[in-house]
Amino acid sequence: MVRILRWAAWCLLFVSIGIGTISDRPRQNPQLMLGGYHVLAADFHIHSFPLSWGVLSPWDTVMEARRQALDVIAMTPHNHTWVAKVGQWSARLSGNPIVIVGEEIHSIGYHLLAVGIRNSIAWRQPASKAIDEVHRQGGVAIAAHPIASYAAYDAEAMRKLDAAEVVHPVGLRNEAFADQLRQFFRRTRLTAIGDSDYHIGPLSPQLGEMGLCRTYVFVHERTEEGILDALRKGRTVVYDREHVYGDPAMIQLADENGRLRKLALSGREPNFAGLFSGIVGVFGLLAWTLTSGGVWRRFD
Amino acid sequence: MYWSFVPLIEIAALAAVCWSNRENIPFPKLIDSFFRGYGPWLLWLAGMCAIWALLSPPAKSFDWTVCILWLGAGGTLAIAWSVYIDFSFFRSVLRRSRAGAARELALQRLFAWSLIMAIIAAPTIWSEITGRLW
Repeated sequence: MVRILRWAAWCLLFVSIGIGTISDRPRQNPQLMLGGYHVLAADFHIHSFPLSWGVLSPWDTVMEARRQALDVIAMTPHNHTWVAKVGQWSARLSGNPIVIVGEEIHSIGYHLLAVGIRNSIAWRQPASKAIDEVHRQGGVAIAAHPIASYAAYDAEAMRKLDAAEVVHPVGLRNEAFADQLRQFFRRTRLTAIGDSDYHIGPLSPQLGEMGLCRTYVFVHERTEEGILDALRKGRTVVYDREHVYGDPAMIQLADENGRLRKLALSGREPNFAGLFSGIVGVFGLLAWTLTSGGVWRRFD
Repeated sequence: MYWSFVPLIEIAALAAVCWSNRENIPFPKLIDSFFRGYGPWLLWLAGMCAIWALLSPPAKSFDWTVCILWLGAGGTLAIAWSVYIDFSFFRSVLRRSRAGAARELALQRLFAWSLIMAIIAAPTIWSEITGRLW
């Protein structure tokens, strides 16, 4: 009986992997041009394995970004940059997406995204000094999920800050957090950013999948420098369910076209074969676990 | 494949605490017996897979609550259950006294989990700890 169940478990897992692989459809990326700008889908807050509570290796992170139709990602490991450099190297082998080296400066009272830097930036310093160092390295400073507990930016830091995450998964389910993100964003003139803060997928339920929240960047050229320039000049549009944030001229361009909003809010197509594959896979895992003897069999 | 560092570290930590038994029981057999303690973890992970396949935790409050309950309560249960199985392993397979089994189990967990957590999240853990102490 156990042998039959074990055999069935392998079959279920095999079928699940097969159907899941065949039925998986990457999200659509229509490569929009609006008003002479290339419109790039970006996620500037992504963590990889190891050292940052990430689940995917840097090279798998790049593949997943491509699957989620992201043109640009910033890999932002906690308090270091080398994992991001590995990701950038692996992306250059395939040419897509553009990977920007970054760091999430994981400090006390604030988390700051340093996007487009070369070397790690110390986390034991006030936000204002960390932003100075980001700028000295040619990067862009973005306030990461600045809800009340991560908003320790004094007036000087607010003057220097380039951008803030105004749409983030923590605000999708919790209106109080969404309101705190909006309040921070309105404190001064900042570039609007929407990021997923991707960590460990299913094990971080408050965050979700890569690219769940994203930024549309309006660039003259599809290069890292072109993207950083657009961020410095505020040429972004970010959508959540009810609001739109960003440069009014870019919002107008997007509204006139209409496709960007639709694209941003549609997400991935429902995939029933994928759902079926998931259910079959779970039963396969359960059968395999229960027949492997690891749950209740006594030791001999 | 890179996540195979978890069982590799577990094996290294097991070897460290069971070094004196290497001549009594073949080490491959020891490893097979020890990994029975992974059963509860596999069940817990299967639950996570089910939640992620069928629900939308980031978007829906109910789904999020189910996920958090499974993460917290399910995870605690998996830890307790695997501790019991591993304790039985040290008692039955390695013939340790109750105190000896508890000591070696604690040592194995300390070696393995410290290293695993360091690889997963060392910079964050350090800044979180010092942040709370200041």
